Amino acid sequence: MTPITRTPVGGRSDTLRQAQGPEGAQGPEGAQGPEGAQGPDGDQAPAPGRQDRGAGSSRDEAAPPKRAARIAAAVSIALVGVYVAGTLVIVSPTTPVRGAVVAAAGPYFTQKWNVFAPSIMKTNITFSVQAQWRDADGTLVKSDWVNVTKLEQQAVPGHAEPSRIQKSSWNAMLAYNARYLALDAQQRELVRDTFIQRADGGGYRAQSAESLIADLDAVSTTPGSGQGDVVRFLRYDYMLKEYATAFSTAYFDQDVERVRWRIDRTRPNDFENRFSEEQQFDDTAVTFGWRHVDDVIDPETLAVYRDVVTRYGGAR
Amino acid sequence: MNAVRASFDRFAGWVTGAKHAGYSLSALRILYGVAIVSFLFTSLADRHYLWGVASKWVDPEANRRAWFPLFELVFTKDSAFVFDLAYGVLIVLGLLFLVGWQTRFVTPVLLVFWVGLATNSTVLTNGGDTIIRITLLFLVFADLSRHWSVDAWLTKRRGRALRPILRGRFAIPAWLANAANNTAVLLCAYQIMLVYVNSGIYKLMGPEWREGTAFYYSLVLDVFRPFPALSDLAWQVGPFVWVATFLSVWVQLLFPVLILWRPTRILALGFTILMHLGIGLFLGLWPFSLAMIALDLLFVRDRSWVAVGRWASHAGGVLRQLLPERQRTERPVTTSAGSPS
Repeated sequence: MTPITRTPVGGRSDTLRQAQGPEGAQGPEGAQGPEGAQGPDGDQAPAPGRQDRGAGSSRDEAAPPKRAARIAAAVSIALVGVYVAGTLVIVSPTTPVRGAVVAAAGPYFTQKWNVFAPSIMKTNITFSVQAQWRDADGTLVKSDWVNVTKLEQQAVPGHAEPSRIQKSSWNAMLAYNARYLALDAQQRELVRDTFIQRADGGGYRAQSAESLIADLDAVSTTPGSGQGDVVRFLRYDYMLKEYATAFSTAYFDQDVERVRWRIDRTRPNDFENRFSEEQQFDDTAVTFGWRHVDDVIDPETLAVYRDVVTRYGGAR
Repeated sequence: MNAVRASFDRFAGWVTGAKHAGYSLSALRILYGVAIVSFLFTSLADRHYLWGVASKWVDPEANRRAWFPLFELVFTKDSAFVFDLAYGVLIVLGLLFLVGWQTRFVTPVLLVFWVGLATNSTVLTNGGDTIIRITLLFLVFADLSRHWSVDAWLTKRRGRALRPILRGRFAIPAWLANAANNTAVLLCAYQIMLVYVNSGIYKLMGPEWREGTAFYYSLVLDVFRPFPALSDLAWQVGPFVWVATFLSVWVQLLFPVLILWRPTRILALGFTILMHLGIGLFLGLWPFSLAMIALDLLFVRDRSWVAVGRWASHAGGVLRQLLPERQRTERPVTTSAGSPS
């Protein structure tokens, strides 16, 4: 909280008192001493040892005792010093020290300023979903693909400051894709397959997380060593299953039993070919296997998804 | 040794003698306020989808972030009504912060609500949210409403400052309040320099930034094209793309050096402010742009703000003189005694 001072401000002699330094600094803001060190606002520090010439105010309660001023200055330097040291470690490449500092300072002070760098993003990435449900005869019906990101990014064109919905599935795809790429080739092949198995009493059920981890570990080129990557991938996979289920249930207005999704990537022409009508890069897609839906979506959540689908022009 | 002691004493005088950057901090408050309020209004219709009841899918990741529990208490995902109450309170806090009413109390509460909203998701945060989150904690200890605020207006009207809560023995001495304000300014100033230098180093590592074509690539992604025709117009001229890209890298990288000397400081601040206006206009990232401009303005001296104010008032006077006589006489003229003549 902003410190509450006992020195009134505004047009009274107290104003001058507040403005004075321990050694009688000159004037309030912008006061300068002849050799003043510059602060970030360019104000210069008052010179020590100068006599107080403030109108009608001698050394008073606003001016700290020299000792207090020095302690305040030392604390200020220490705070800035600790913050500078800590953040320099945080933004540096990974080191054993960095882990400890991030653990202590994060997530509040976690930061990494690699926006659009080092290699600038050149590809549009989107999240498309497909669903299956059973018709009146109990036969599975497969839906068309629907591009969730394109629908969400209807919020962008024509809006000086778009709704943050522009980043929802777009960022999710960036995170999911990075985790997918952290798996090795055999593991990637496996996660592009279905995660559904037959249930003992008939019907189908989702494969358990434990069996998925075991399967992915078994096909790994270095079994036992990359379980962190596997767990990180599966966690996001589970999240996308929830996202895709709620979205497709609202979009298709059906009792969805299975979902799957696709990462679509389109790349605009490079700078050198920016005026060419011909598309320089082919579109790419990575399709993942079917996931079994075993959650009940609460009506409030479904209503929100339906509202989003309607407002962004996806109503069927 | 004496020189070190003298420098230290000079710093002690600077840090405890007066609150610095009064105008810059007030400008910062207004720009942060606009950034926060505009962000909340533009995402208003999607709030439940992004942070509320319909955003539970992101919880397996969001719950792993280990935020300070207070932040996680503010925005519930269990009740749309309670969520809306908190969202409404955040809008009100943003507006109060913007106009500068009771800023010393509003700022810490705003911080809790602002960070609280962000903890509900992991896929929506951008650099603007991060910079506001980090610096707002420092700014809790700064005086943000000395100018252009309801607080300042009330103080002027009453002829005295608001009555402090802590009085007598418990009153916080002015020099301590000054030290808190100035340390916050130093931390914010360092933070913006860190952003620029860190970002400049990353850019220098990227081939597109070195070749001068990165600006083009930032304009062609669908997620950052609020006005596609304008974006396409911007990359038509090759030299414009190259100059914008090179300047972005080098001004950011050299920012801490450029601000040391007034002429280069003016150039550096002029460019970074223009760059962020461009980011806002072309990419639609206004909260980020406004926050960065607000922090850039910390490097403008109070003297300069006063000079600009005087110049603006003079220019206004000249303009009034140039207006046709009839328009001028339509307004009542106030005499020095305060009564219309």
